Amino acid sequence: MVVTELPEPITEWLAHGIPLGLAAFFVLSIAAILISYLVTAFRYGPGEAFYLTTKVVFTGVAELFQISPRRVLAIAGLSFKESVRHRVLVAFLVFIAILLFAGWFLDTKSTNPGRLYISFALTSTNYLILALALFLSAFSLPTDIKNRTIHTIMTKPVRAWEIVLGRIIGFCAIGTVLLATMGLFCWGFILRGLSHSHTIVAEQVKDSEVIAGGKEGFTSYDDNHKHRFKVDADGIGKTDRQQGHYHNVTRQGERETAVYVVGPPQDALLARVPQYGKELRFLDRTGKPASAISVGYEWTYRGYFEGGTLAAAIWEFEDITPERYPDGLDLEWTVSVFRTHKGDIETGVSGSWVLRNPDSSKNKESPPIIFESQEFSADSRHIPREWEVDSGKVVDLFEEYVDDQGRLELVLRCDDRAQYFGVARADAYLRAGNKAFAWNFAKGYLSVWLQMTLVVSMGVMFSTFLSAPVAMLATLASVIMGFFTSIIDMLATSVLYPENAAMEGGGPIESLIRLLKQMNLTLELDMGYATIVIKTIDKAIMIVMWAMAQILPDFSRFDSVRYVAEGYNIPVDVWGQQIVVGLAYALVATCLGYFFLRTREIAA
Amino acid sequence: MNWNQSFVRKVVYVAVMGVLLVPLSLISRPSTPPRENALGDEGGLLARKRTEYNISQVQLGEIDPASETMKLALLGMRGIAANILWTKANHYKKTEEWPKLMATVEQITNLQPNFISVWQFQAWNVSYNVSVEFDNYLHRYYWVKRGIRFLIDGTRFNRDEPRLLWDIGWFFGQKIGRSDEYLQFRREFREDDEFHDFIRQYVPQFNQDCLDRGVPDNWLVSRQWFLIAQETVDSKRATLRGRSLQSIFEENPSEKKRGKSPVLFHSNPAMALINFATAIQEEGTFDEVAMDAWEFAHREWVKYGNREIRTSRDFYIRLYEAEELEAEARSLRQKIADLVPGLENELAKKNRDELSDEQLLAWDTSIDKRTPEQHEIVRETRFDIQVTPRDIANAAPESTQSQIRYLATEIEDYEQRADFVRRYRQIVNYEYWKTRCEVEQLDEANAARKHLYQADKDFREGRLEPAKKEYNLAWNAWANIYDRYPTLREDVGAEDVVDAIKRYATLLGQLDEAFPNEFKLKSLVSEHDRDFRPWSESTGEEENLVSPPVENGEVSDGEETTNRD
Repeated sequence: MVVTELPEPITEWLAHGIPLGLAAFFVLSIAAILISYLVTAFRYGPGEAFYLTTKVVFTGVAELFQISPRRVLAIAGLSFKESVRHRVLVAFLVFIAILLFAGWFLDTKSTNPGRLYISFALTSTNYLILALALFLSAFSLPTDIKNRTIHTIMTKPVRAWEIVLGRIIGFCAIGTVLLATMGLFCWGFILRGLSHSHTIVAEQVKDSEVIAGGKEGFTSYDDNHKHRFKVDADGIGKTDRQQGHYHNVTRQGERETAVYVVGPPQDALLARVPQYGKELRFLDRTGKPASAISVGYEWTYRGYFEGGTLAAAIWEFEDITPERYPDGLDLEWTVSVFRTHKGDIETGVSGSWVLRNPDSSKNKESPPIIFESQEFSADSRHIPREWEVDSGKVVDLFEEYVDDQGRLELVLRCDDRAQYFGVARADAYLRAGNKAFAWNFAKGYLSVWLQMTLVVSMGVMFSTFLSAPVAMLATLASVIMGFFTSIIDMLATSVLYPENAAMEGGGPIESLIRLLKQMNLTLELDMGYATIVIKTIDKAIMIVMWAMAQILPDFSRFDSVRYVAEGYNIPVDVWGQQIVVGLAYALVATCLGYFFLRTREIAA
Repeated sequence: MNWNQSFVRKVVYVAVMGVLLVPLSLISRPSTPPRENALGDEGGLLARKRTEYNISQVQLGEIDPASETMKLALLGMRGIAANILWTKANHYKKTEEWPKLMATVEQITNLQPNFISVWQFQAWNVSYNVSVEFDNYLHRYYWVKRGIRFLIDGTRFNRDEPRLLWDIGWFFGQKIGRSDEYLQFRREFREDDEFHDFIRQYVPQFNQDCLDRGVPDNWLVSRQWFLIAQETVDSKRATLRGRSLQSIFEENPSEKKRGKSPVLFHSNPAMALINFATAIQEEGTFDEVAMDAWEFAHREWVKYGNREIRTSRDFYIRLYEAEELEAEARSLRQKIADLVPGLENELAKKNRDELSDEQLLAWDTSIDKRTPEQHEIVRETRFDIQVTPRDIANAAPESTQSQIRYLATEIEDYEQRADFVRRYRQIVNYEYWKTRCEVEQLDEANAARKHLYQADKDFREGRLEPAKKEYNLAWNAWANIYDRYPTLREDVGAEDVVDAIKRYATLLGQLDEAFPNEFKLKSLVSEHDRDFRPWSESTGEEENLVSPPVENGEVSDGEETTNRD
C-alpha cells in the first residue's frame, strides 16, 4: 500500500493537539461573542447589546447543566419518526439497487477484485449516507420554523440546547440504523462477490519436479482466473496467489481414485498489522550514506539504488522485543525493479535481506536471505527466532541482531549488476500479526459514521439560522470544501506566496482570464496595472479561502477505505484521531447551533 | 408584482415550453420499422440522419445496459465525467495502481463506447506501457493480453470497425511476436487455452486457420484479424477511415487521404504469414513445415500484388504491374518515334546546345566520377534536357500532332501509374519480400538456415568444432543464395547473417584460429557493418564492390513505416 506519510502516534498527536484545539476554541468563542455583540449593538444600541449578549452567554452555559435527557430523547425520537415519515428509507432502496447492479460496473477481470469490491461498497455507502444526512438535517428545523410548529415547542419548557441536541441525536440515530444495515448488506455483497471455487481434473495432475512424491497442476478456470497448485506426498498443499487469495488443496483417495478438493479462498479478506520502520536511508555504490537515485519516473515515491555494488536501503525498526514477536519476525516487502539491461528475461532480479545490529561496535550481520524480485505484490519471509548461521552455530535473533534499545536494522541489497531496486519507507514492514477483518471493516464504517455525525451537526447548525435550501447548500459547500482542504490550502499559499508556488495559474480571476485567453500556465499574466488589481483581488479571495480551509473539518482525514481495501488494519493512530476530530467538530457545531437558535428567538 | 402577474408569467412559460416541444418532437421522432399491416416510419430529421450515416446505436454495435444507465444518469454531463476519469486514469498510471487504472479505463469506455480513439489509446496504453512496468514476463504477458481483450471488447460495441480490428491484428502479431520477450510471449500464447477459447468466440476460422501443427500461433491469429478488418472494407461496410463517418467521408472527397494507407493496410495479412514463417524458422522448425509456410506466404503475397489499391491520387494500381506499364509506355514511345523519325534526337540536341559548358561537362561525366556539384547540376537541369512526348507533339508537323498528343497523354498515364507502383512497392518492400518468399522455399535456403541454426545452437552449448563445421556449411549456402538473389542483401535478414558471422568470429577466436581471408561473405559484411573486419588484410576485393544502391531510405520491413493514425 502506498503510504506517503505515516500517521502520527495518537499520544503525541493528542499532546500537542489538545492545547492547540482548546486555544482555538477559546479564541474563536471570544471572537464569536465580540461579533455577536457588535451585531446586536448595531440593532439595539451598545447598552442593551451588552445586556443581551451576556445574558445569552451566561444562560447558555447555565442551561447546559439543566439539559434534561428525557426531553432530548423525546425530541430525538420525534426526529427519528419524522425522518421515517419523510421516507428516508428510499435511500436504502437506492442503496440496494446500487449493490444489485454493481456487478455491471465493476471490473470482474481485475487482478484484485477484493480490493475493488471493498472500496466500492464502502465508498458508495459513504456518499449515500452523507447525502442523506445532508437532506435530513438541513430541512427539519426550517420546516418547523416555517410551519410554526417551533412555537408550540418553544412554549413548552424545552430549552434550545435540547432542541439542537435532540435533532442531532435523532438524525444520527436513524443514520446509524441505516448505516449498520447497509454495512451488513455490504458484508454480504463482498463475501458473495469473492466466494468461488475451483475444481481439479485428477487426470491432468502431474508429478512434481520439486517435491518428492508430490503432485502439481492447475485448477479450473473460474471467476476469470486459475491457480497453479502443489501438494506434498501426503496430499496436502495449496495453490499460488491469484487475485489476492489462495486455496488449500487436499487429495482424497489414492492413485486412480484420487480426488482433489479445493477449499474456499483464503486470505482474500485480511487486516494485517504492519510495523513500519522508523526511517529508511540509502547507501551509495561505495557504501556511504547518500540519497536515493532517481531513475526518471515522474512519481518520486520510491527511491532507487544500484545492484551489484555496496549500495543498499536500510530500514531501522524500533521496539523489537521477544514479547512482541515470540516466534520470530514476519518480514513483508514489495520492491520496484528498474532494469538498465534486459538481463535474463525469465528470472527476476535477485536481492537479499540482511539483519544487522544497529550497535556498530558489535558488528553483527546475519547471513543474507536471498529472494527473487516480484513486483506489485507483497513478498514475505518468516525469520525464525533461532537461527543457524555459518558453521552450524545457532544464534538467537534478539540477542544477536537487536541492540539494547530494541532496535534492529534491515538491509536490502540488489545483487544483479546494473539493475536497480526502488523502495519507499512503507514498502517493507514487520507483520505484527493479523486483526479480524470484520473488526477492521467495522472501523471503516466508524469513519463513515463520524462523517455522517459531522454533516448532521453542521446541517442542524446551519438550519438554525438559514432557510432550508440555503442551509443545505451551506452544509454541502462545507463538506465539499472539507474534502479539498489540503488542495485549497496549497492553492491559497501558492497565490499568497507566488515565489514558491506549488500550483501554477494564480487565483480564481487570473485563472478565469487564462482560461478565456487560452494562456499557458508558464506565461506571465501581462496586463499592466490590471494585473496588479487582479492579483490583489485574487489574494483577498484566497485569504478568505485559506481561513475557511483552516476552520472547516478536513474530510479527507476520514478516509479509511484504502486501509480496509488493501487489507491493512486501520491503526489506532488513525481512527483515534478521526474520533477526536469528528466529535470535537460536532461539539462546536452543536454549541454554535444553540447560540444561533437563541439569537433567532430573540430576533423573533 | 402581484399573484396574478406571477401566475400569468408562469402560464406564458409553460405555453412557450409547449410550443418549443412541437419542433423538438418533429425533429427527434424515432423511426419505426415496417410491420405486417403497417408501413414503417423513417422518423424525424435526427432519426433519418442517423440512418443515413449509419450511426444509430443499434447499427454501431451491442448496447450495454450499464453503459446506457451511466449515460442517462449523468444527464448529458458525460463529457465532463469522461474528462475527470481520464485524469484519474493518468494519475493511477503514474502511481502504479494498475487494477484501479483498468477499472477507470473501463468506466470511460462505458461512458463513450463509440469513441474509437479511447479504445485504441487505452488498449495501447495497457499492452505497451503498463505491461513493461512489470519485471516478470508472465505479468507482462498478462497485461499485453488485457490490452488485446480490451480492444476485442471494443469491437463488440463497434462492429465492423476496421481501425479496431486492424489494431487487434497488430497487437497479436507485433506485441506478442516482436517484443523483447517474444520467445516467452509466443510460448505462453501457445499454451494459453483460456485465451484461445476467448478468441474462438470472435474468430470463426480459429480452428482451421490459426493452428500451426495443432497449436495456435499468434501470427496466424493476427492474420485472421487483419482479414476480418480487410473484409469490412472490401464489403464496403466501412472505409479505412473507420465506419461511422463513412457517408460523410463520401460526401467530402478531400477527407479521403486521411486514415490508414491502403497499400499498408492490405499488406498486413500476407505480412503476418511471412512473419509466421520467419518465426517458426527462428525457433528451429525447418524442412517441409517451414517451406510450406513460405509457400503459403508467397501465394498470399502474390495475391496482394494482384489486388487493386487506391493511390493518393484516386486511381487504382496493382503492385505487380510496374514492368507491364513501363513496357506499354515504351512501345507507345516507339510509335511516336516511328511517326516522326529523328525528331526526338533533334530536340535533345537542341536542349543540349542550350546548356552551359559547365553543365555539359557534368552531363558527360560518368555517374560514379561526378563531383557532388556535378550531381547537383545534373539534378537541376534534368528537366531542361529531357524530351517528353509532349515536347515532341508540340514540335511535330501539324498532320501528326493530334495523334502524337493523344499518344503522349497515354504515355504520361502509363508512366505515372508505373511510377506509383514503384513508389508503393518501396513502401512495403514488395520486391524484397516476393524474392524472399521464393527463395525460402528452396532447399538451398532451407539448408542454409538449418546449418546456421544448428551452428548457433552448438556454439551456445559449447560444442565448438561441430559449430564451426556447421557455420562453414552455412556460409557456403548463403554465399550462393546472395549471388543468385542480390535483392536479399539489403534486408534485416542479411543483418542477422552478419550478426551470426560476428559470432563465428568469436568462435574462431576461442579456437585460436584466424578468420579466413577468403571468406565468401566479406562483401555482405562490408555492406552492413563497415567497422567489423575480422579478416587480417585487405585483399582489395571490397574496393571493387559496389553496394546495391539503397534508394529512398532503407525501408527494410514494410510494417515499420506504418502510419498509425
